[in-house]
Amino acid sequence: MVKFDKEELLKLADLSALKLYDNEIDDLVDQIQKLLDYTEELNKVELSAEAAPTRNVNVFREDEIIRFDSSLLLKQAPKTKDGFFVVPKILNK
Amino acid sequence: MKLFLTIKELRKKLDKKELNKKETVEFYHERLKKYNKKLGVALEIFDKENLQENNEQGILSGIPGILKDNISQKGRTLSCGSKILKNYVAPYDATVTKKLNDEGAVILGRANMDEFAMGSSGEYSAYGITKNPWDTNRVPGGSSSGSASAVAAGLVPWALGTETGGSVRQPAAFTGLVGLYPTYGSNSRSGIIAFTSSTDQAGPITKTVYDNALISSILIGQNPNDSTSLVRPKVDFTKNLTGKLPKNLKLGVIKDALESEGVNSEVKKSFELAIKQLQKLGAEIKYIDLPDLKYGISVYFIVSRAEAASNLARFDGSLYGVRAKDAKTLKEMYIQTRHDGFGIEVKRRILMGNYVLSSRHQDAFYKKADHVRAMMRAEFEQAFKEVDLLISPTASTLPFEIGKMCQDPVKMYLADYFTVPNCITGNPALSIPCEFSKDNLPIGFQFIGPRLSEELIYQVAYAFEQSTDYHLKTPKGYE
Repeated sequence: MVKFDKEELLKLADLSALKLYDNEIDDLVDQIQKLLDYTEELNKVELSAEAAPTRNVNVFREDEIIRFDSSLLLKQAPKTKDGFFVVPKILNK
Repeated sequence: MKLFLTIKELRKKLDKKELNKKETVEFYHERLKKYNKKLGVALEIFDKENLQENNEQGILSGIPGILKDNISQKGRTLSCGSKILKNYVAPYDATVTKKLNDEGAVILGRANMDEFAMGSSGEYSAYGITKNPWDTNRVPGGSSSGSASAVAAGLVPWALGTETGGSVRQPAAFTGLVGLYPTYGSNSRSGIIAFTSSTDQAGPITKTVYDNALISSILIGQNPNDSTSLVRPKVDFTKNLTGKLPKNLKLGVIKDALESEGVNSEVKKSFELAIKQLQKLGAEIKYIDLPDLKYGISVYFIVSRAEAASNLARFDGSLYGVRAKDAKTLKEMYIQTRHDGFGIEVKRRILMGNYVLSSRHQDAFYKKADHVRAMMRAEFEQAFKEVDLLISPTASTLPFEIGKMCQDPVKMYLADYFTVPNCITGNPALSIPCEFSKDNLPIGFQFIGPRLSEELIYQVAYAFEQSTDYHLKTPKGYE
């Protein structure tokens, strides 16, 4: 049985770029624990070798340039400059 | 003008000039506006002057519909029921939108939905809940909640939803309508906001089987923008609606459907009546044991959340959508944007998804689920050697009361017991109405078929429908 706790939740939240309200934490721990417990039944399944997961295949197409008005996309951006997307600084001096 | 007309009836009246297109569109536009406050079906109703009609000769020309708000309509807002995309405008049409437009469809607006299509009730939209026209204290099901509710109340004759684990069929069942999950890959996902890419498909919600077959025939087809779309010959699914079952048709009743404790007794009773009716029409009934079916929910918990966590990583405020103000660093911007933009159900699924994908847990969860998924696929294939189609109730519950299931998400997820398995395996399934509950609430049952068997499914469902009058019932209060 997997034990899911607050520490694990907060670590996951950080990795998922999510911030949680204090009053959400206990409920989330409890609900995710319940889901994980539910899926515990899969451990009882005897995995059959014949029905192995299918391998996905690549589907290729010609790499053609399709003209697209990029201003349509840039218009969606919260902030742009000279045709580029602007985000907060990543590197410090 | 007569209410609750089907696409078929409207087409006939329009072609015979008994109705004119402009008045027809205005009629539905008015109705949608009038009842939207009561039901919460639409996130936006487009201005009357600003509606598109692209093909006067198309089969949907002059016939209004509505699209779930995760399907791109060029130049229109596309919110996915989420605050994070409140200001996003679709820069291009989804393939399915284009196909509908090419047939002259007049799209009246954007249908409400559970945020990012995550939910089975229509209660998780960031823009307010959708109600069931049969009883406004109850949910219409989800996540294609607005699509189903709008058609059920006769506000539009058809709608497009999307389904990942039941999101078309379950709301169709809860509102007395017909809903299809097509063979995975039948229609292109290009331009539809991704949730679980390995099961997501668009599907029509309509009043009748004929209308559903008609819309499906428009949607299917391979598209280079979606490498998982299948090469399928263009077929007209309405052509084979003879009103009769094929000779020697064998239907398999999924044993769990009758034996499981979790199935509501009225749902069970209604389903048993449907079985009898199908027998009367000449079908041979077999009882089929599908032991791996019960793992569907577990596999879905894991696979859908893993894919959701990956797909939703792109919503971070950098390229489009709402960006949190005043963030000083990039990470701060990501976190604050997602904090402000996502609702609790979405967060819950992302967290669980990243958990089952983490290097420490992926063998125990994701990889195991993937293997059981393959076993379920094999089990379905085996079953279809014995029977032509499988049948079961669509949802195990009646439409439940608003607010009732939110307290216990696990319980709500379990209500998808019968709709999840075929999504995981990519098999098509169609939900149609059967006997209503004693409180006059709709109940649906479904046909699940082998891959690419839509034509047969529609034929059988049509024969059932034509021998009953469930599809003629309409909710009161929408005159």
